[in-house]
Amino acid sequence: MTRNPATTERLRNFIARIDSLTKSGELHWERQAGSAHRYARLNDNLLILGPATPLSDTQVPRYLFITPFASPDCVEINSDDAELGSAVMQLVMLVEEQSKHEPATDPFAVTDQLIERLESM
Amino acid sequence: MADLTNLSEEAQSLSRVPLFKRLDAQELEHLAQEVDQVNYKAGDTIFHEHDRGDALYIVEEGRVRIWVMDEDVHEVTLAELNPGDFFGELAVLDRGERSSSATAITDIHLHRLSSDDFQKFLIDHPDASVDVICEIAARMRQTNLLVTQRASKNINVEMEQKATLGQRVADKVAAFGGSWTFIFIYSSFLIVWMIVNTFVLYYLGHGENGAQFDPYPYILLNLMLSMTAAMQAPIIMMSQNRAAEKDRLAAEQDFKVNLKSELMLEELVRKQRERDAQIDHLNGALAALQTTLERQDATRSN
Repeated sequence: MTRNPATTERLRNFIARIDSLTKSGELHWERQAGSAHRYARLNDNLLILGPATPLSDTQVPRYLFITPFASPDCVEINSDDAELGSAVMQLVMLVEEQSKHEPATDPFAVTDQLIERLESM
Repeated sequence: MADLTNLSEEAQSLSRVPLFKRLDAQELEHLAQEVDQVNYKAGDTIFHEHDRGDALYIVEEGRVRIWVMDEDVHEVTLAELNPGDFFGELAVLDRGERSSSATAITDIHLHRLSSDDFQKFLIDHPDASVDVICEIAARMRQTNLLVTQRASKNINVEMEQKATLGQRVADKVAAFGGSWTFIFIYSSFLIVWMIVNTFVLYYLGHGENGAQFDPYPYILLNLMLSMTAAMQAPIIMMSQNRAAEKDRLAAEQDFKVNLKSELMLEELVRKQRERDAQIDHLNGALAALQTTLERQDATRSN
């Protein structure tokens, strides 16, 4: 799929903006338990870094997936993209570094909050 | 380029539109008489999908969004147009329905050219027709790009499009090798081979084994079976690797859609709670107001 240079430049700038927001801590990335997925909300958009495969498996390309909540449109940029791949990998590494001390989100975890809610039924 | 100094305001405005860049001053003045000037406020709909297409619009000021509803009744933006861009040309050209809707993003000022006038303009200016065709082609490319980027991708179709000839052959071989048809055909072949070598050829030819070319214990047949198995195993593994990759992509796709839905639901629940709190607050205020009014009534009657 061909992409015009202007679009590439706009996407590069957008990735740089995500990078800077992540560095400054304004963009909070959540860590998925048992998976290499990371996700964040930016204004009314959902950002996902994937796939589930650990980063140590370098054969599998990483991706940055951006989708507005208000629309089914989406943009996916892969680390094997000739022009933007390195920017995506840089973001992946940065997010990994920033989120390594984050508590993982586990939808199946038994939390005190859940037990309290069940007890109050 | 036309000399703009003596042109009317409308004609000067039209001369800045790329579509009319080849017109001379006289033609611009003539066109300005045919064109209506229309204004819309931000958020106004200029036309809806399936409306009858009766005019072409050219953006003079502001921005316009062109969009369609998809199968999930979501608005999908096809393009955002800026000053100098035109829209509504498809329905004008084929005199059919509007293929998309158009909404003003900001307050806008548009030039409106009726179907008949636009067609007459294209007939009189073939070079402008080429510009219109180029613009339509560019928009088709843009739409194709958008369609390939939709969230709900069909993984099977994507994988099929990316598959190499070797991968397609591997899939076919694996599909055939893992079927009852293959088992029946292969079993029949083995039985025929053994019967022919054991009974039929034994009575033909001369010597102790007759004309048998692979007598019991069928060493040649065993060699062929081993070679078939040796070739089949990596081919089936190739196909399995592809199936695993397809599963991985499908799981990734499910994750994206599920996560988005989950977060959207969270947001909806949060908003619903806020609404409930607001309603409670308003009910409280209403009850207090009612009590005050009742007290005032009681005071008056006393």
